[in-house]
Amino acid sequence: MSDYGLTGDDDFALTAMEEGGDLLTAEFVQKLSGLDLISKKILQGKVKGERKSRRKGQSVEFADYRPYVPGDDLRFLDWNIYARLDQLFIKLFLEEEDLHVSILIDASSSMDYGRPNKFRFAQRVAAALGYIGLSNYSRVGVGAFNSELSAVFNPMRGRRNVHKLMNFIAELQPSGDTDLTKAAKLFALKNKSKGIVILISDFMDRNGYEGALRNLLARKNDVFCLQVLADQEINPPLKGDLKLLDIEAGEETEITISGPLLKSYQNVMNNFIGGLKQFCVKRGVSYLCASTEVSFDQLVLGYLRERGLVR
Amino acid sequence: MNFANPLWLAALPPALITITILYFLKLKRREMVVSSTFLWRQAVQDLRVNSPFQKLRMNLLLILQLLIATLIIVTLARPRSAVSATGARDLILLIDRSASMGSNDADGQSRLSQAVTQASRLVNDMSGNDRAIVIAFDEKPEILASLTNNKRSLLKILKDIELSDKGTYFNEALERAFKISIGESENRPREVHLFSDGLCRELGRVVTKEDRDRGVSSKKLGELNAKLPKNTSLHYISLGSDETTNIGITKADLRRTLDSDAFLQLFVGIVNYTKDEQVVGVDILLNGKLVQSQEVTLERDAVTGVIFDSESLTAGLIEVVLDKKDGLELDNRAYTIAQKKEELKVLLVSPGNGFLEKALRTMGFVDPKSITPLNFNASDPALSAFDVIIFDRFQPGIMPSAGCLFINVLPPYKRLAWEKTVEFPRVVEHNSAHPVTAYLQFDQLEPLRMKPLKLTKKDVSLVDAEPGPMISVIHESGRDSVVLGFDILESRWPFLAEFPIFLANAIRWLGGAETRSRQLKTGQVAVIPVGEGKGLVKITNPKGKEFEVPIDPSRRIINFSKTDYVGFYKAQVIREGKVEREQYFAVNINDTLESSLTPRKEFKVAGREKAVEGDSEVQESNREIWRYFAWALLAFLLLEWYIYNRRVYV
Repeated sequence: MSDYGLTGDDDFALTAMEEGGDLLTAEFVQKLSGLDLISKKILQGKVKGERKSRRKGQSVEFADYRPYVPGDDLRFLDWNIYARLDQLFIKLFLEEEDLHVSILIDASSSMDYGRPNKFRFAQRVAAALGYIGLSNYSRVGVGAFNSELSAVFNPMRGRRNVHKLMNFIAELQPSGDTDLTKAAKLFALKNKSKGIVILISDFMDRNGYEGALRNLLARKNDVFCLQVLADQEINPPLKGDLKLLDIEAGEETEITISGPLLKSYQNVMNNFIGGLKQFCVKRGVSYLCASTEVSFDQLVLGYLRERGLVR
Repeated sequence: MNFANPLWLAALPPALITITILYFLKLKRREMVVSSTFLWRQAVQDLRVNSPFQKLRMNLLLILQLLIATLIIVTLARPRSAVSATGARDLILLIDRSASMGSNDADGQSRLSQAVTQASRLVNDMSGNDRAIVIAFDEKPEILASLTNNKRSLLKILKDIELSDKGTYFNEALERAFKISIGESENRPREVHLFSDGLCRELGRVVTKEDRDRGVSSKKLGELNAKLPKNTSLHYISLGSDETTNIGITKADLRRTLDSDAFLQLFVGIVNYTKDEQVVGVDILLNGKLVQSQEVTLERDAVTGVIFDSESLTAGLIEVVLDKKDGLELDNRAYTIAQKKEELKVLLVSPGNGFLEKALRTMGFVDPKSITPLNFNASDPALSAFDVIIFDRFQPGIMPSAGCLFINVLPPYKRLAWEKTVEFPRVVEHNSAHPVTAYLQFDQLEPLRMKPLKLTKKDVSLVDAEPGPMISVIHESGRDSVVLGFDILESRWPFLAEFPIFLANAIRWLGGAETRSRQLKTGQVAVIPVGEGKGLVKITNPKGKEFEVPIDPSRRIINFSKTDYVGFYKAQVIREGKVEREQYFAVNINDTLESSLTPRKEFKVAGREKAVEGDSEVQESNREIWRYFAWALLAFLLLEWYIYNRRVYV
């Protein structure tokens, strides 16, 4: 971390635009090419794909037997069983369908903070996951939200759509207040198909994040929460007498930094993170808290793998 | 604890209030954008709930600033820890400014400046209600400041004390201090502080009976001591170092040679107070020009006499200079004046004395007159024309203004009385240092009978016989008379060669022809003959300061007492705007005691069992402790700096 002296370099609200740079480098894309997104649940897709589906269908993987009823395709009769038991059984195979991946990016003003910038970080994670999804014939949709769903990238599949996706993500701009619950509700209404929902946010919503997660879970989605925090939020390098300006609500809070206050802040922050984690764990939601200080490679290739989102 | 400058404390409340107001009014909070303040609000709320003193903690820097301001002001107020809770005191500061106080000790500081430094420390220590009085003294005390609590004026007065070229007497200074203590009606502790090197008249290596009598154990001082209030304390601060050594001129006398009146002889007495034998160069300057120079070997701890006898030594201002750096510069020079041979007018009042008349005639005095007692009228104004009057067996009713030689008769002073007449007295010794009796023998005097004279401390015995003084010098009212206690007609003296010489010596000395009469000690009254008529005398002292003294037409002399400095004094008699005559007189220190320079560590006061012991330094009643506050101030400043720059977990 750089020196957070009182002079000069203490404005942490560096915007995503200012930070700039490519979302994904060619080198990194290469590393991603071997990866795939996985869901803990077996979900139903829309078209034939590469994933197991709830539906039984035609694939090479055996799933179950069921008694033959007239009209069944005789090609799937298990003749061996018929020979032994003199009864007709139909072999059922797992159907392989595509996977629906939805990436929800918090594009509220509070994300436009930190050094490295939180929103930029979220954009890059989204781009990486979107790329992995598209590369593996999953249907990838992206939604940016603040107090509502501000921009939507309709689900698409196939590697040829990577460019479109990247452009969409790159053009997102953080603004407005956060309303997780409302945004989640709108998303749920719009997106009927089940799949993986990756929620990338700082979860700093005065009204709470619980409603949002409930909404998403109600659709039986496989929800993954990625909480992005700037290091300046975890260990604020502040001193002296300050007037804190809320980047989102514009509220002012006057504080005098002291040892006990910093300690108290850290307690509150730990409780906040711990509370979210506990909420997620209880409901089978995967959760990962990432500081923007963490290297992007390590997050995608290491932590997300550990959490079972990518393989 | 008390404060030397308590006024500063008045600045404390406004300073603290101002800092606090400024802190809250002018606190400019730096604006800082954060992603969300709701966590901070929660943190602040938690903190308030959990620690009630958080407000105070938040303002730690303010508290430190208030503390630092308090310390600055308290330090400026110069806090002192009162060693003894004395309350209001009266300080009587006696500062010795005599010649010896001008000597430079090893540290290069004169004793007077040491005294002033120490006395100033006492003054600085004074609390608001303390008062002090400053008395500077040499042979006489002078009150420079009356009792006051104005420190600034006291310090200025102390700083302005100038050295005098005089000797030291403790007695009068202490008497004055004791009188002040007795006279003060307020019942507060009085502290008499005496700053001196202790070279007062009863001390030293060359102690005469006269000196001892004039010492500090005077009866009067004892009486005053008995009357002193109980709460009066006497402190003696003994200044100077034993290591300081000195060589000084104690005497420079001029005489005309016996065989020829044209030549002058100069007698110089040099005392050596160093631990070794010394060789010094002695230069004789006549009217500022070097006329003779000689190397002299001086025995240790003794007076060495040197005679300068040269044709070039003629009338004029003669200065004797020792070519040696030592502890006291002042006594390395002596001044004397060789007058032109003066014609003395002598009157003999005698019932008839052929020997005397013949002797006077042969000595070449201008027109010596001889009258009988019957023709003598003491109030005759014509008497003032005579320089010397010889009274042979006749006592005048009043003392004439001329110098007098009394033969077998007493001067008309009430204090004098003959003792019982003794027959065939034998001469024991004579005073060979006195110009009247120097170089003379008195063994064959053999008077038939003599009347010894009872002398006081002011008088000097010239010739001592077995029963008592035979020839004496009586000093009264600033004038000397020579008294013979026998009739010269009843002795072998008129037939001896010494008789006319003695007579010539006595007449020259009494008539003032000898330079001795014009050579004074510092502080002595100079008697300046001015002649008749109105006018004024302008006297210029060696420092160039001029004094104008009007002439009293009824007297032919004026008395000048401001002989404070050694050197030549010029007296010009001015009548009707014209300088009628100009004369000089020389003033010397001639004080073996002041030259000795070895400080005295204790002295006795009559009526006190214990000697007053000297301290080398004043004892401070109030110890300054502002330094500790200054250190604390520094520590708090560093602490504030640290807290401001580091996020300290308090």
